[in-house]
Amino acid sequence: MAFPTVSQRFQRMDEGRFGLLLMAPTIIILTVFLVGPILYAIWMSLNSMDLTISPDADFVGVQNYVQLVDDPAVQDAVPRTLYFAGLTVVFSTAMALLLALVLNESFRGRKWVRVFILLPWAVAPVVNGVLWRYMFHPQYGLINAALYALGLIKEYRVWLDNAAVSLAIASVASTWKALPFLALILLAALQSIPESLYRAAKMDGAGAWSRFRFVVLPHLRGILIFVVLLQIIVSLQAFDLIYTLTRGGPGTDTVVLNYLVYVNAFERLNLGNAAAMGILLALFIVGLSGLSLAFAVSRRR
Amino acid sequence: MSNPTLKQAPFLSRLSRRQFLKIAGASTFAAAAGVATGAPASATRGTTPAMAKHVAKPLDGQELNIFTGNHHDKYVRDLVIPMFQDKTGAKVNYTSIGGGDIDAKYAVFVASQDGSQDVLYSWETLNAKYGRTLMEDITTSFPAKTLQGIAPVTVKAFTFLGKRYGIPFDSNIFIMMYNKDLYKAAGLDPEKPPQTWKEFIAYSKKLTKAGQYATLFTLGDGNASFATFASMFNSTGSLLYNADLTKFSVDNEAGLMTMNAINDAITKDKVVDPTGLPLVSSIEQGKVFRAGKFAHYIAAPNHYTLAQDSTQSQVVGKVGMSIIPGLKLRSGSLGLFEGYGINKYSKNKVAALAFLDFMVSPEVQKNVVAINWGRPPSRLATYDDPDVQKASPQFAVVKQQAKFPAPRYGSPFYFDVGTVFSNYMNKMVKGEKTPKAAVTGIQADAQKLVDAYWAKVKK
Repeated sequence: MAFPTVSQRFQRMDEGRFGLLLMAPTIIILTVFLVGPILYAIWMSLNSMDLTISPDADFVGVQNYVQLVDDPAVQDAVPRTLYFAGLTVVFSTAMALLLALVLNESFRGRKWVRVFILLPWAVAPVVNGVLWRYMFHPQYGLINAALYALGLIKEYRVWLDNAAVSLAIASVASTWKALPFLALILLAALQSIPESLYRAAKMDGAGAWSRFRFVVLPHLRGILIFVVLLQIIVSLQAFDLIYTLTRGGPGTDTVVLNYLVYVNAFERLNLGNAAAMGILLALFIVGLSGLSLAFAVSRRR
Repeated sequence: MSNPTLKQAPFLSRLSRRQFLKIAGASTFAAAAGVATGAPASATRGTTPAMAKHVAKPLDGQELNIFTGNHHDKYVRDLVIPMFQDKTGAKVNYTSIGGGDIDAKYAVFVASQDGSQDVLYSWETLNAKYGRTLMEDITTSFPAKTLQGIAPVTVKAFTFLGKRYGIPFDSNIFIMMYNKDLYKAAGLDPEKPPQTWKEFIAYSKKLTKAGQYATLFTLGDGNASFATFASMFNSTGSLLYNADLTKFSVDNEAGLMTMNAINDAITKDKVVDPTGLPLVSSIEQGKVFRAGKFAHYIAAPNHYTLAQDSTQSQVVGKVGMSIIPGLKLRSGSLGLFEGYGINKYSKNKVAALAFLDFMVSPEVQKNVVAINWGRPPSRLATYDDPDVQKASPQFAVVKQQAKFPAPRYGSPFYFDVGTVFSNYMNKMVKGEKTPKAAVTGIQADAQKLVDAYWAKVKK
């Protein structure tokens, strides 16, 4: 009896099974590197795992989740996180829109400017944090040196010494990095607005503000909502920037939720508690992502 | 999963304790020979290739993995390890990361019970924090004879609740350094540093002028804030904890005196550079001192060695030294002892133990730790060596400073307590808390952390 060759087996395979076969490597990789760790994190969140006491886990059910509600560190981190996210969303969306509007105009060297503004996007997040940290360094920083040279300050000052200013600076740093990507998304949307709409508005006597208000903004509504949601998600995930810029300090003044997950896991070694916090944060972000996706889909329809 | 202790380790059948003692003996003998002949360190390990072929080395064919902070690269990686390999025949793989990331890596080692790294960097808090879960208890396995020559205070710092989790290779404690040129410019006698805290402030006021402050305090993170506080608090003669680290005491006369002194220096006397407050590392502070930008520098003695290096210092030959002026006692300081421990999951514990022993051998203590690094060695006899005294004049001050209290209070909750200090001290210097409110707040918050830890242990 002759056995079928590999090629013959593939040809005889129905489409469903063949599709599954093609997807198998991806499914295996995702299971090992994504689903596995997520399940492990959920398991950890249901166990008491304090590595300063014992490397072993002790099942405690939802106790870690319940403890989070009364944890003063979480209570302090929530408003800080919202403040940082709020500032970042407002800064980044407004700046990206402004930049997209400028880049949508015709001017000499526009192509070069479009390429040049992509540079911050290419900077690694950690490098971004270090860069801004040194710019605001109280003794060697560019900001102090520039302000001093211009006579705007009489002596060097400390910039990262309180929560409000430090988180605002973190927000500016985050905006600077995200700006090119957001501006490009908005620019693409701007370029999809038919020229005829602008001409018609002009013929109706609409000025620049009215054209923006009644032509551009309604057209960008969907993509703007997407940008806002995207920035909320990114801001809630902030860790690398805070780690490199302030390390949560002074004291715990700039500890945001995701940074607190790191502190609980890798400084306090309380993996159960950190996993519970991470899971809750992830669920919140997944919810927002779903919302963002729903908006994107509805806009396409 | 149980892991072999040093006594149960299967490889002990291959490498006996007698062989281990040979390794220790070899290093001691080699150093003694070097001292007796006046030969440089490299000559003591100068076997010819032909001889090497015939002399079996005690760890031939063994591989040892060492994990540490990257501030050890220049000395441990580049100087100690070649000596160790040459002496023992072991092949050493060295890995280092930023000191701030050590905790995260150790957490992974514990969680995965990873024994791939045999020797682990350690200090007082890492011993206490990882004693139960990562560091091997070497109380009985480390040679008692070697231990006899090591400064007892440093050995104590590597002992938590009666168990020893590592061996210190240095006895680093803060001393005071000062810029003699700035003293002269301020009309102060550069040979007469301040003796009391009151004098320190009086001197500092004279050293502070437009655009230049007398000194630098750091409150940038928990570790820096706690170090600033504790080094001064120790000069009151009081203790922050009881012996078993269950009771924390700062809301008292000594705590308030210390907090007032810090607050006054920064906000009332204005002798402390406010732009230095957010700094966290001694590397950053040292750079500013070596640039000649401030006069009084309370730091580890190896910064004196750095200050004499013309490639990175503008104050070569201008640095004076003294013990730190105290608040109540003549002085007080803070111990910053570093060393190495053994990963309890390691499969190569005997070779790891040999490395710990080698780090405190006379040869390494003299040539690497004391002369090249400028750190006060943990082996006490090293201080009497004329070469060491010549190369590291700061050790004379260290010997004096060591007569005064310098506990660091390392514990599993060290960083959390440090963060509490950082929170309150930063608020205090911004005028949001009084010194009294700061010590009261620290007392309450820190005791909660202490209680929470011990409650978990009991559970």
